[in-house]
Amino acid sequence: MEKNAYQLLSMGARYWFVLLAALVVWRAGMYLLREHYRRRKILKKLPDAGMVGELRDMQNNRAYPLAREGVLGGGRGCDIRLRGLKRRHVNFAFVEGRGLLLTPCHSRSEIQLDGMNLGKGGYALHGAVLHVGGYTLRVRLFAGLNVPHPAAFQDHWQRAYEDELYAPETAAFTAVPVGYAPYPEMVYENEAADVAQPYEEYEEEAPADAYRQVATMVHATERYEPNQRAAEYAPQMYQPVYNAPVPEDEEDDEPQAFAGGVYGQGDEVDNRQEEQAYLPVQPRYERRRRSDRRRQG
Amino acid sequence: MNIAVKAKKKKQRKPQQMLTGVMLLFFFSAYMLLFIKEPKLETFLMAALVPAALWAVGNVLPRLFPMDRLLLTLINFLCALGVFLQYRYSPARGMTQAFNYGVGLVAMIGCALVVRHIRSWKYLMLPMMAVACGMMALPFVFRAANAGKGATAWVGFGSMTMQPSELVKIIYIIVLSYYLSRRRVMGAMCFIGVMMGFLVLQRDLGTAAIYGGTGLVLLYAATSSALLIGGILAAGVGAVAVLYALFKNSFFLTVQNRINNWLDPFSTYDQLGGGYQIVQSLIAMANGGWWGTGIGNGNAAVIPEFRTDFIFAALMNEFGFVFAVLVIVVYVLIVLRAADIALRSPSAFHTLLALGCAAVLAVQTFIIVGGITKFIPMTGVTMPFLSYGGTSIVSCMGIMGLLQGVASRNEHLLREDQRLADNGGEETA
Repeated sequence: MEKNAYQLLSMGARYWFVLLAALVVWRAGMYLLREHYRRRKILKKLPDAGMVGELRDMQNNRAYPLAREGVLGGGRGCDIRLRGLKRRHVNFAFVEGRGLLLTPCHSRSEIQLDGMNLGKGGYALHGAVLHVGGYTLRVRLFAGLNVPHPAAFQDHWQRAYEDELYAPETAAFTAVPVGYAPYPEMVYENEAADVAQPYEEYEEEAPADAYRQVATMVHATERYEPNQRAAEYAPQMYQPVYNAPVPEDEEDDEPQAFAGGVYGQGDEVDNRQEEQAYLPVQPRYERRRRSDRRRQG
Repeated sequence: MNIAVKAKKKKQRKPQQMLTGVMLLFFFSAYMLLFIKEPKLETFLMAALVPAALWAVGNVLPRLFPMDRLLLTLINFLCALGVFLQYRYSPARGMTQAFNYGVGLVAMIGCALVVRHIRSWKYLMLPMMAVACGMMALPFVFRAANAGKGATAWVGFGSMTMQPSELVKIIYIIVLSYYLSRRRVMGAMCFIGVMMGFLVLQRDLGTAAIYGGTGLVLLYAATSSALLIGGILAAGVGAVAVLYALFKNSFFLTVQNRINNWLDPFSTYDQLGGGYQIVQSLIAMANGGWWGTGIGNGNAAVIPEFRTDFIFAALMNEFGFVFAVLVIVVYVLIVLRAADIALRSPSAFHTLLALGCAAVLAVQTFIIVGGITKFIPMTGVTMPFLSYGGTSIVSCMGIMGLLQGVASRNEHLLREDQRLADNGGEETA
């Protein structure tokens, strides 16, 4: 093409390219906005999006939404703020397949998870109890999350209630060492599976190796290796519950407070709240549209 | 098929498809215009292949790997524009740039998968920091000849040269995000200091500014402490002043020259290392005017380094001021998208990671556009996605890969939340 003709064409095409670039920017901007509103709409339907459960204060029954990751402390920047705690007390992060990882922010923080010192950190499962400062908090995770759940011990708790030996804070969760989530979820999926009940074989005092057997039986499937570590720790964990010294003069007295729970003579104890606490939490879900509500009047 | 069904079908067209369609039209027209000027088979093939490649990357890639489509489309647009600008002045370089873009895509996918799948970064931090320090020390050992004017930031292996500080940016963002998300501010500041020390020794102040700016953005995002940022800025200015006073005639001679060139480029126009580049760039931009001179009519080749540092001047020369503003808006949209991704991320590490990516892109674009337009002193950094150079494009694409990884993780978590709610969520009125 002739130089002058090309120059003319090229100069005319300038506007075409600017128009196309403007269209690119316009479409991209609209796309950005549309995506933003789409997400906002979804999040409106899912008020608990980004959360994995809640921490419930057992003293006043107040619930704190539990994000996937955050900090528990007394500072303003904390995700869960509780007065009286250090500015940053405990870091928490949900880890798929393991549970809620708790790591203290300071080495001197006195934190207990299910009655045990947290040390450098540990995993809390659904129903675990956390003692932080003066607070007693129960971890409640959403149903459906990929975490090991102590389903094999649920019946055990019921029997423990009946046997009036139940110490909620130090019971089933302490059967495994803190910071360790050994039970694969699949083990408990088969409801018909024969899971041994720890309280069936003895009534008064647990033999030292009783839980070694239980732990072995729980994992005695071909799919999963027996969990040696859990078996090793189990009897030690349970020892304080069974062998807790009962003062002679208070032998027949009212139930005694023990680490936030109650054990001893439990006839008058209202267990409903405790039972409810162990039920999995359900995330909220806004199913109805505004227009539906309007239609319903 | 009746009209209502047709209309419904039309409505269902995805916005991303429209965006890609406009882009394809743009590059097809641009290459065809070049073909009309000089009828070559190669140019004709480019007119067909570039839109086809753009379509494939924009539509096929997100199906194979989880990615943010908008981000990918905008990056594609800028990269293809970079390839076109290189091709317009030198077809061989255009081909090389297209190859670099392919390598960059691989880097982007790799980085996205790493961010998406690595759960614990704890044990990777020390090796990554060691690699970063090792790479930054490379230019002192294998210095490339005739690469990087004034700076010793280039490494030469035979005929191949690379700039390690470009690639270290990826590690830099990850390490800073990790330490700051764990509230280890001192550790992060030490790492920033070490990296800045390397860059100052290399006299690569443009990259040092990018590292410093990104570090400050991340520090502020992690700590919300204006006092800390103010203190660091004051200490930095003090340190620079002291170093400048001590090494004015040796170490900081290049810096001094660049400041002089910025203040009055016309007075040093005919001197070696003077304001020739800036003056030529200003003339080229002024020559372009509002709408440009038109493709193939420009004379940006007179600017030294017009393929790398001054590519924006070449763009303004042929496409004009309005088009250049639209290109900057594309950068702004990428940064906005990155900020959106950062804010959506539920974990502090991923939030800071996405924010770091946005900050690097924003700071780098600001420094180079500001330098070319004489808003700030000119420093030798590349224009993200547009400039010629393998290291630059691989580094930018890698950073975008980090962003893509965070975005896909966010999407996964949102789907997980929906699944939880669908499977057993409590219905609320």
